[in-house]
Amino acid sequence: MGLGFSWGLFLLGSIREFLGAGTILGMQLLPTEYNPLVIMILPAGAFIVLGFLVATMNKVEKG
Amino acid sequence: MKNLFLIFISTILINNFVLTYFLGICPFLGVSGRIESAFGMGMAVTFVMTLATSISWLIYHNILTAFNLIFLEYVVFILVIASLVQIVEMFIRKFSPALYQALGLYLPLITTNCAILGAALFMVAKNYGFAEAVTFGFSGGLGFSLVLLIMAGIRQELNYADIPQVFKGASITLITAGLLSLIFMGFSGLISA
Repeated sequence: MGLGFSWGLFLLGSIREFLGAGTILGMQLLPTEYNPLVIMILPAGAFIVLGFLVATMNKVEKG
Repeated sequence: MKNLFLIFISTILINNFVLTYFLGICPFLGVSGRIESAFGMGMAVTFVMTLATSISWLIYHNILTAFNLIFLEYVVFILVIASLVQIVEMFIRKFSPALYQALGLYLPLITTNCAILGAALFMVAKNYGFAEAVTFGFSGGLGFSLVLLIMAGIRQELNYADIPQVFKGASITLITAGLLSLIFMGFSGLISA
């Protein structure tokens, strides 16, 4: 349970940071011309990304 | 007075507990299936939150700070909240067995509803006076109820919508919550700091 929680949190954080700032763990991954999706950093983005993660889990489990 | 009004509006619409602080997500997702149970849950949380912030304020400022016992604040706050939930639980079981059935496990879980402990801790962190603390708790509960009711209304309609299989259940609920949160962001222009 604890590991699953950490893994989920890590995944959620990575996706939000990547899309919202173009970085992962502070490293610039996307070119600086990338216009960040600020919404991903905001609370709304968390709900939406989590919703899509749950949908992905459903897809993986049920096919 | 103006100060209280500002706290009231901003806690309900701008700094909503559920949509901007992610507090109280568990009943928000769990009880928003039907409007009746959402309304009951909203009222229960509003009641507990208002009383919890006022009683915690009184204890914090009259006992804990006076005797230099501030390190006990979590224990004391949780004790206050748990006793209040116990009262609400007995009341609802006696006077509305149907609502008691509908809320199920989520009723005792109000004890660990982080929105309520959050309200008590925010009120201490923001150094509110008594009137401000009570307004803060009450409007926090109202904001929670408002979002819960809106969500329940949307979810009842969603039952008739044609949603792709993988998005059914928790997924579409979370995405809806995200869109609601976006809508509530629009209110942040109401008050200019």
